Amino acid sequence: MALVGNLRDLKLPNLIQLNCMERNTAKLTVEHAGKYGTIYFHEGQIAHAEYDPDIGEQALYRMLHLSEGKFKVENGVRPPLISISTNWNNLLLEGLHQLDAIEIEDDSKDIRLLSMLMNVKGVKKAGVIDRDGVSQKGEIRSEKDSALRALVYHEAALLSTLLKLEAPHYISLVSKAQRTILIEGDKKIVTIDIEPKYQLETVMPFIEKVIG
Amino acid sequence: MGNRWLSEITDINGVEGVILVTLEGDVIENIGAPADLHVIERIARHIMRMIAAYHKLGSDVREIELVWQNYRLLVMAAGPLALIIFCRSLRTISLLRITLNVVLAHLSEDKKTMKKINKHAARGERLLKTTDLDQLEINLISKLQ
Repeated sequence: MALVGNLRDLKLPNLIQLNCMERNTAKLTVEHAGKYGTIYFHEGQIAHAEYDPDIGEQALYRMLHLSEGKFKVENGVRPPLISISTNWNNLLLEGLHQLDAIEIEDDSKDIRLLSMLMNVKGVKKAGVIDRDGVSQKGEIRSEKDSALRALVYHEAALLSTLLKLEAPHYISLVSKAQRTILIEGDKKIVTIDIEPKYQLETVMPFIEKVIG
Repeated sequence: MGNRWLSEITDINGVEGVILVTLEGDVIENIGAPADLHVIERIARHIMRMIAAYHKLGSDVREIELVWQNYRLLVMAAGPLALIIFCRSLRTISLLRITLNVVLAHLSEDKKTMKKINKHAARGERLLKTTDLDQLEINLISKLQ
């Protein structure tokens, strides 16, 4: 019987470790955003990986970036070819090292972006939250506030699908106290609070220039 | 009577359609909205869920804009009603905002419109509790409690 689940609940490095330590021969398939990746285990070693357009170690390293997606492990399936010969321990260490390096680079990108946004006239606060409503960088928000903004963004994404459009370029909400702008970043949401006296049309070109 | 005021909006260059909705996302009037009614109703519910979520945290949203490359949705809310405008052009946005304020003021005083709206009088909290929410919506709404 196949083991199925989501990478949100069981991380890919843990799944790999499990199959290797159990000395499994198996096929692990991951589906994320309509794209499929596969890792083949042969007697507890990673023998082959495919993640379009890559094959071998590069495919495996790219798959380690996936933090969500459906997975299926089918035991007893042999690899169609051998594209990897490095020991699984070393592969995982190298993959996680690459992942850390990217995350550090992302962090400094976010910090640079937020400091540039704070220099735009009219911007009171700027921050980055993830899709699950967790504050990542910048102005610290309450859990409720971050969840609210993520929910607004998610509702906008859902209605975009109904209109047969991509996710919106940006969302602006005006309440009594402030104007809030939500812009999609790389898997994240950039949130910007603007003083209400500033018109959207005046501030937005500068913000778009910073976001790029 | 309501429709006459909505026509003032659709007469503006670039406006594709307009709907008048309650805080719970029920469509009361519709002129030219670019999809079938059941799709428009779903769009209205997504928008009004944003407003309901803000209200839940004690803040009233009076205007929302969703901007795509060549499309824009403008939402103006006032009291128990909201107007959702589907636009193809951004050139007349200032004129559109002024017109919307005028139309909202007139609709709020129009007895026939308000009678229809008041039939559905509610603060929209139902939109945060319905069964047709996806898992992410459920997770995020639970964090608002």
